Amino acid sequence: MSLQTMKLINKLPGRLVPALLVKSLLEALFLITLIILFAFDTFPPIRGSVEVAPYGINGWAVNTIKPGARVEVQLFIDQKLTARVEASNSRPDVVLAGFAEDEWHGYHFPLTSIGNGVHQARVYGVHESGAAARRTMQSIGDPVYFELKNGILTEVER
Amino acid sequence: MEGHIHKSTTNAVVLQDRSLALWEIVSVSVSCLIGEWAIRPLAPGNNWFVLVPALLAMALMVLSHLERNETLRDIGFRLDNLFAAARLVAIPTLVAVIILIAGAWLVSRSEFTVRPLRARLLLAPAWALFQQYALQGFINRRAQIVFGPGIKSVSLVALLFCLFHLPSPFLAILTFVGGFALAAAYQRRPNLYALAAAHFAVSITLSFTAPTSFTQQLRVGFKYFGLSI
Repeated sequence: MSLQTMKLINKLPGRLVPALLVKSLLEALFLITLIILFAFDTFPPIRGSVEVAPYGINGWAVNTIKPGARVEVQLFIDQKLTARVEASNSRPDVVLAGFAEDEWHGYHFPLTSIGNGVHQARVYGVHESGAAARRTMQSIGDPVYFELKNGILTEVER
Repeated sequence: MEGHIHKSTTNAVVLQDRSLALWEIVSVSVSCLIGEWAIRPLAPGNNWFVLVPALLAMALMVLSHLERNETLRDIGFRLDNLFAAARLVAIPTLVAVIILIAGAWLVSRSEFTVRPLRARLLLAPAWALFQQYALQGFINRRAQIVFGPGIKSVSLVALLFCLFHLPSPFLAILTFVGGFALAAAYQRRPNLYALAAAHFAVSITLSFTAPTSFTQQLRVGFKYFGLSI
């Protein structure tokens, strides 16, 4: 190889390739970290249950990332928003099962204003994030079906 | 035989250098797009996170200048050609300012107002200089390694300047035209102060006069949508 060729090769910015690789790697890691944090901040897994009781829909809801926080729950009957409450009733069984540190995660939706017949109930846990600019909803368990007759609810299979 | 080897080695080295320069352009552009599009939606309220891609891009640009033996003077931080460069950009800038004021007046008519000076506009000259450094002092110089001086490298600079101002259609068009003119001027007279002055003059005219429905307060990237999520 001639001296001229060697000089030409030496002129190539040798440290740039590793620098570009490191920068790309750091930016990728930064983005992945942001996405993971975003996912946990926006959609913290909400654990809970939906139960058909004679006079309404009961259950509990716990934000698994912040088990001490109260979760807002919304009830949808036949896919229509019917009521919303904060899940803060006493549910000692939730603590006993190890799902939360305190018992104040229960909710109760009394059902009085819907007609007789078979209905679907679905409960969503609502989570606020991004300095209250973002509200996300997660279904708590599967939808339940019940029959309302003379003011009494009975769970039905679907 | 040796001449043939020398020629093919030279071609390989030039190709390698062009690829490297293109990679540098892509890398810095990606940092800019991360800052504009990813930080705000993914980390609301933590706008300082934008420093991460910004500092990485800055570190790369500084290292690249050192590796390529480019001085501040080469990049365009110089005064010897200030007036020559200013002469190149003065008339296009003046025309742009007149068109923007006339356009704003035509669109707004009776509602045309000159808005008061906002405190953050005091930083606008420095911000304009930084943008012109990144765009011309770095991207334009690398584009010239890839395509050589001329229409191709100037168009690439204009396209990237336009890309960084999306999704605002108004700013995208304006920055494409402005970026083209400034990139061409830089290739003739590399002086960042003159380009920054032109950039500042157009920015401040927009801030003072253009209807916010057109400019969205000069917001770009995700911020353009005015959401704080």
